[in-house]
Amino acid sequence: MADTLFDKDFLKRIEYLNLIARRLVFGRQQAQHQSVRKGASIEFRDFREYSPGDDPRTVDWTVYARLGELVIKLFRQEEELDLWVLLDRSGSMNFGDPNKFDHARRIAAALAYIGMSNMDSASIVPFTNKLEPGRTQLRGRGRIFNVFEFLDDLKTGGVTDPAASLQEFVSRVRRPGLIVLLSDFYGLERVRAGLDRLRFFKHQIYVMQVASPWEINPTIRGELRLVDCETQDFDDLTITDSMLRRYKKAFADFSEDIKRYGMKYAIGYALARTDTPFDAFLRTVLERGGLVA
Amino acid sequence: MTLLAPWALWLLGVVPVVVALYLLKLRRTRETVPSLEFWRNLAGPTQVRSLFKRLKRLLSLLLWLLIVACLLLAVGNPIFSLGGMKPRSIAIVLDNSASMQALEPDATNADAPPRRRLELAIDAIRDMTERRPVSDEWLLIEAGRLTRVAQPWTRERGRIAEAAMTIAPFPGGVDLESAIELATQLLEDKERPCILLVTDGTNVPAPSGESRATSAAAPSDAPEIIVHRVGATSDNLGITTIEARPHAHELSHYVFVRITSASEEAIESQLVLSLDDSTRGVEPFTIEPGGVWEKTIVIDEPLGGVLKATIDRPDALMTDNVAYAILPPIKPASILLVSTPDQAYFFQQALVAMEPLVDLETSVTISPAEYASLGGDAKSGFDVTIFNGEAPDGAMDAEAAVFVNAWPEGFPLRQTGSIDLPALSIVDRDHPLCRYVSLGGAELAHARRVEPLEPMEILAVAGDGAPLMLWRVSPGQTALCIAFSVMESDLPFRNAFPLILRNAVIELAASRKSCIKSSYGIGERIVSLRPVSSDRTTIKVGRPGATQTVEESEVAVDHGGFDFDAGLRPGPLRVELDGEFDYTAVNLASDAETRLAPMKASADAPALELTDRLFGVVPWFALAIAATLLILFEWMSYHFRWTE
Repeated sequence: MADTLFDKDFLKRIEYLNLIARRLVFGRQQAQHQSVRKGASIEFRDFREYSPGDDPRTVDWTVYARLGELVIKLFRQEEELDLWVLLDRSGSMNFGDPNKFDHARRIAAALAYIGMSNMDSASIVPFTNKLEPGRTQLRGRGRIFNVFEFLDDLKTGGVTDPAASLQEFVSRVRRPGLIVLLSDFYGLERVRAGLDRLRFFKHQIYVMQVASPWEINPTIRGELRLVDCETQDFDDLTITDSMLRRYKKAFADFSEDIKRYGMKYAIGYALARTDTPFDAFLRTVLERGGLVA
Repeated sequence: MTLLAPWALWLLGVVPVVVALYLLKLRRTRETVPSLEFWRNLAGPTQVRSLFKRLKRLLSLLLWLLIVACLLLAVGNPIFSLGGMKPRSIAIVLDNSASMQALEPDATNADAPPRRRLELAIDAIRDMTERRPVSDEWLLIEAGRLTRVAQPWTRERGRIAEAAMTIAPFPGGVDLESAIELATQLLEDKERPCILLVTDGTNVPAPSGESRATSAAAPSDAPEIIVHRVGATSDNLGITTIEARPHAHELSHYVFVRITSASEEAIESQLVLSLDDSTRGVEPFTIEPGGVWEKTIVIDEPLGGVLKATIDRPDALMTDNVAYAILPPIKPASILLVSTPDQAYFFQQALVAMEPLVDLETSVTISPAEYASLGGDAKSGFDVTIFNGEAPDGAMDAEAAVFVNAWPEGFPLRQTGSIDLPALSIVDRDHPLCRYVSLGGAELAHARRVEPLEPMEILAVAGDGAPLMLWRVSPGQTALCIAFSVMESDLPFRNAFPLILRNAVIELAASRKSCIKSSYGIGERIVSLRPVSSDRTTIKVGRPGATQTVEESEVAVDHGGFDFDAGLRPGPLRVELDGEFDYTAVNLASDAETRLAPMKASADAPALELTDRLFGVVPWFALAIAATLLILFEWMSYHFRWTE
């Protein structure tokens, strides 16, 4: 365990966060999550027209007697709640001071701890342009050091392709769960494509946009050679005050686009600034609600 | 192209510095960003490292090299002209005469207000000084009311223009010849001397103008005279002559007016005459192109006054549209006849016949002895003194006198003999004293043969040409001298003499008391015509209005006389001396100034070598402007990333 990333102080802080999470979110649910999927339980959810193959036991004969139509009753399915933290480890995350990837790893660790303590299972899966091996189906707080060790060994590199990664994710994980996506979300169109796939498989999604203060308010100016930290591609640009103004507006619009997309499809959104302590950020997220429906 | 400041070429050393700075500018700082695509989207669809982009980047270097070139050339003060332009010493003579106050309409913009020729001349001076080498030496002479150096020798061209701006317009005639003379003196020992005469050409003295400039007879070291003309309009009418003469016997004034046209078109207008601000008449006239209109107008006003003549038509020069004349009051003359009683009767009868020209109540006949005993005040109380046969002591003090067959000691006439039976004949029939007089066949018994000791007008002579009637006008005395006894003449002369005496009384009474002339030019020196008593230190001078005297001032009396400049605008002047008033009129009245049409320049007339202009301004200024614009363009290309 690295002294700087996951030290004792970090442990104390995530423990405190966990207490808050219990009080705010998980106090009454007791690790039970009302799934959006319909299944076998005693709680009625909806009617549906009968189709061949349906269990005849679910036919509502009362309705049939009154209307002469076969409809079946649907019940809310009770199932385990799995937390999936998808962590972007592409090259663009290795940027900023404080470093975006460090910040994202701390958040991921904290979420995993809360998930392992309060939910059925927690998983951390890194991705770049593909899904990478992670730590999955972790249960019990005692496994947190395993998570720390995994995250500590994780390095940045490669290019991001959220669409491909999330496609791969939904092909592997069919059971809906709570998915927290930690990324800087550059290449928004590709991100949207991936999120659409997650939505299709009824996952509950929460996106956390990790951004350093520099990205929000860059201080560069003049004749510069800008180098992409992911691709090492470069371009010579003249950064003027007017261009900086345009950049700030564009970045704000970029964040707003993600947020608006989330609001449209019931996807939670939070901007994780690296100059804001991870615990303060997560506390705000928990207090706001939405992380767990 | 010639660089007047070739040392500026040393600034070429700046070029490598510019290139080095450009290369440093190209060596950009690396900055890592999380997403280059994001910045590229902001910057627009530029194609990295494309040929076009490289060319665009090269544009920045080219712009800076161009800026340096423009600045370098601007500092070098380039001259664009055929042949080498060598530094000269140039004395500018600026014509500040009345015609230079003429208004010139703008040929390119009909709505623009007209400008005075003097303003155009100052603009021309500024333009020429700017377009000459900076090493030229300049001098500015104003040919105005007085010829004066407005700006001594200087190499700072701006001072010449500033000095020209301070020159006040002068609405009178000027002496360009003396200004050129002064310029010639000041150009002695100067390298490549040149006199630049900036004028409308109406006053250019022939021997000093272009003819001198091109004359082969001009000495080789004489400065070249270059005439730079300003102005083009010729639309002007002006009163070039106005003279008033009292006709005592008609109790009226004859006013002679001459109007000159400089226009190239026939003009119909009218002349308005007003006496003491009261209109007395309107004279319509038509004047041919470049012609003259003349008329003698009778003003029936014995009391006289200030006559104002106005051309009722606006034109380029308004100063000559107004002219003034003084109409003196016509009053009966008081005559003192000094004669022995037995010889006086004939004169007394002649004087009685002159009424109302003669005031018989105040006229007196006394003997020569009585005259000698009269005091000075008593003598000066008469308008005319007639000495018949004797000229006693003090006769020379009489300001207006008729000496008959005798003249006082000191009168510049010497008797050299006598003439028997001379036949009298008139020499100048147009002389005022000979008006209406015919002496054909008149004979005398005897006459004195005389010889004038100074120039006098001879009115009548004997058959051998010996002068017998002489007219002398001097500062202290106006006199008619008759070198024979009237009583020893035949009947024809006795009949004619009262007419001669009448003419003499009219002339002498009119000319006696004025200490100044009846008219002056604008700005002309007014000098006293007769001595002023030594106990006076000042005289009063003012402008008479219709009811009162305005703008009164005092003029110092020096050595028994006075002199001062006439006013700077047409108008009457009143001089108060010894309790009496003398009037005069100040007018432009100059044919040369009224004829505004500029003299045509000959094709081979020399012209000042000037550098060509770039985009309407001097080259160094155009280059400086170009450099400024290029810097602005380069800044914009940087700011808006045109070169990225």
